[in-house]
Amino acid sequence: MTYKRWEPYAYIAPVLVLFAVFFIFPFFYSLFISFNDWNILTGDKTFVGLKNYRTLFASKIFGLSIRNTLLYVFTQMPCSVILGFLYAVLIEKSGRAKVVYRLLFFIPVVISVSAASLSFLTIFNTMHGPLNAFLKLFGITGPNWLNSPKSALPAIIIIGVWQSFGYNVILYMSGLKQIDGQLYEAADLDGASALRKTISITLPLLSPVSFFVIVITTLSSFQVFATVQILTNGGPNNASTVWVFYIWREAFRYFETSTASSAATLLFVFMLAATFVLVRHFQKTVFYK
Amino acid sequence: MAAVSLLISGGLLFAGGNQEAPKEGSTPDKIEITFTHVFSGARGEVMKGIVDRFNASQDRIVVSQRDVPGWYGGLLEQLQTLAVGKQLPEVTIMSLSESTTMRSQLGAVSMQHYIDHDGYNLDPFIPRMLDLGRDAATGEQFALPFAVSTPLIFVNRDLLRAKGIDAPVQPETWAQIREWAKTVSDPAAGINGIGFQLDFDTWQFQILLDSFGGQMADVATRKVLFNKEAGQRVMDFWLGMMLKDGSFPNITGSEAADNFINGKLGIIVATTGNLRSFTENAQFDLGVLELPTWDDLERKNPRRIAGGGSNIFILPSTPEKQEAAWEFVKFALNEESMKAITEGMGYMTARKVMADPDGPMADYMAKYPDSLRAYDMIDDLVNWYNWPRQGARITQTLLDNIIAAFNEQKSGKEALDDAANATMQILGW
Repeated sequence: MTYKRWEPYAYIAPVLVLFAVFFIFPFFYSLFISFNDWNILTGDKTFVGLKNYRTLFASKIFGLSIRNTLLYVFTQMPCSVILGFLYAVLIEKSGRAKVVYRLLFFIPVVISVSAASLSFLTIFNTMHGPLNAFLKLFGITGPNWLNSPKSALPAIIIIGVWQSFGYNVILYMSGLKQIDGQLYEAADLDGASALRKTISITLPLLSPVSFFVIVITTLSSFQVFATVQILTNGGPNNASTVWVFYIWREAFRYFETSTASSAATLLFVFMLAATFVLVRHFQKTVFYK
Repeated sequence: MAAVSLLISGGLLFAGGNQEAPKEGSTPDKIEITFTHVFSGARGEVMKGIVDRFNASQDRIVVSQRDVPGWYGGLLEQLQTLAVGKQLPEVTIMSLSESTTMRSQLGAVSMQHYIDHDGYNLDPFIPRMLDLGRDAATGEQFALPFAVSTPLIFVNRDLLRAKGIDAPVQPETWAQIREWAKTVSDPAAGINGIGFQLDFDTWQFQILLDSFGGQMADVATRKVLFNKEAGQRVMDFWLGMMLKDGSFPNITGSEAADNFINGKLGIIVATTGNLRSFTENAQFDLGVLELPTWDDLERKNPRRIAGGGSNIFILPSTPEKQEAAWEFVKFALNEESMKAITEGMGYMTARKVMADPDGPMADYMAKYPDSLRAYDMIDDLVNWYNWPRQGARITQTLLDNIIAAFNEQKSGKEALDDAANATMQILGW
């Protein structure tokens, strides 16, 4: 069967058009808005150069949102990835119960963020929530989870890990299936311990999966929003205000769409840089064979 | 084959665009308008009922109603988005704290023209409630009160009685409330003294501020005033209960409401809108009290209560649709609609007859006698303070600083001074 040169492009055209309309155009328009003072209601736009960016960099709350986001990313991502790997290894060894465990760990992934967040409102209730009641059994006084600046962000991180690590379990489990069992048999013959087999066989051969999981989890954790909005509204006193929440609040609560666009542009640049760093690092450490 | 595939792909791409866009405006016979609000569930059914009855009462105008999630913040967000797309609804309700935003940013149409043109009689309305939608400077009635609330003091009489407190319907002073909270509080038994619903706006801060003789700001002199003596007294009051007495736990208003219903909180200062919920769910002897008459034992400052709840607004549209919107507004504010709002939602409504225990609400008031409590405070109603601009940011700034003081990140004075300085900067004063 022969194809005319334009045919492949014709078939991908619908997706490209949608991508252009819903991603490319909004991105460039947002970038354009970030250099303007835009009254969203009257439509008036005035070019202001870097003024919006200067306003951002002078804002303590924006700085706090970046700090909180980085804290979230560098805590939630490693926990989610490591737990995903550990549970995948454990579940692989669990025989016929594997199917049940896989389902149980994947349930948080498919529950909507809103439903999960509302449930956690009850769980984290300071006085009568089940979590503090459980801690009390061990003589531990649970923190004022959502109302204390020390524990609000950790509470959000806990939910983030809970909701995401199940997906990583599934990915690691499919990666583990790809590893040739004969490698482990050979290692057994050589007297390798379980730890040695993990370090020398499992981890290197799972490196492509780890690469994917780390990049995806990192990018997704940069965009945490719904949990913050529902549980803490960025509080108390901005202790859980993260980057995307800051953008949303500037745009939709304060009507400052220009500032929000600037913050969104900076987030894109930051995430692009983070992806670049991760890819460069993993190029050296990923084993595909 | 390729051509057929291409045709199918193209058809799929443009299929949605082939649907006829919803007709804007009217059919030849009917005018179609939209009414947006924030109520869902059982309360949403009340709104639907009002709309359905209006549509059935005449055949010229068709109203469709839409409840927008996220309470008034979500509604404001939605209205902003709709404004950009030139698809604002014709009628909406909005929090009393956003009246300035509705007028200056969303161009809400003043109702004074329609009131004058129609000869609409405002005499049956409670004057203080009409003030909530009136421009104090010009006297213009730009909106009308829809569902109004004040805070009430809800008490668990069983807990109070167990500690020897027989709470009167109207406590004398806030100092008295503090003493009750301290007495009722029993951390060993998991009982806290008092809760305030103050974590999502500054309504209750303003009520205490006004009652302590203060004010939020003076626009004429461009001065922020909430950090002066009266404001400090509010912070001292809250922080005293929280950090010294240990009777006011640092929890959200929602948690406080849950704990109160579960019998773990003795007193809660909450909106009238909670009356039905507390009445139906509390498994204890529920007491409903007015706010104290005076600030303290010296009785220097009488109570002032910022009205909460919502006004109903007409938004800019064609003259024909605005007229239709006005017809719906009149229906939504008639006795039958107001009865439905109070019975179904617990809010106060603006007609004098609604506060008459022998009027249309006689059966409801016989069943829920405490519903009169909020009406008894009407004479002390004042407007919820609207900042001249950037109201949402200023409110959040003040709230953040109050919460910082609750978490001992700052003293009460530092919190208010920081909030005041930030507010001056935001306003450019």
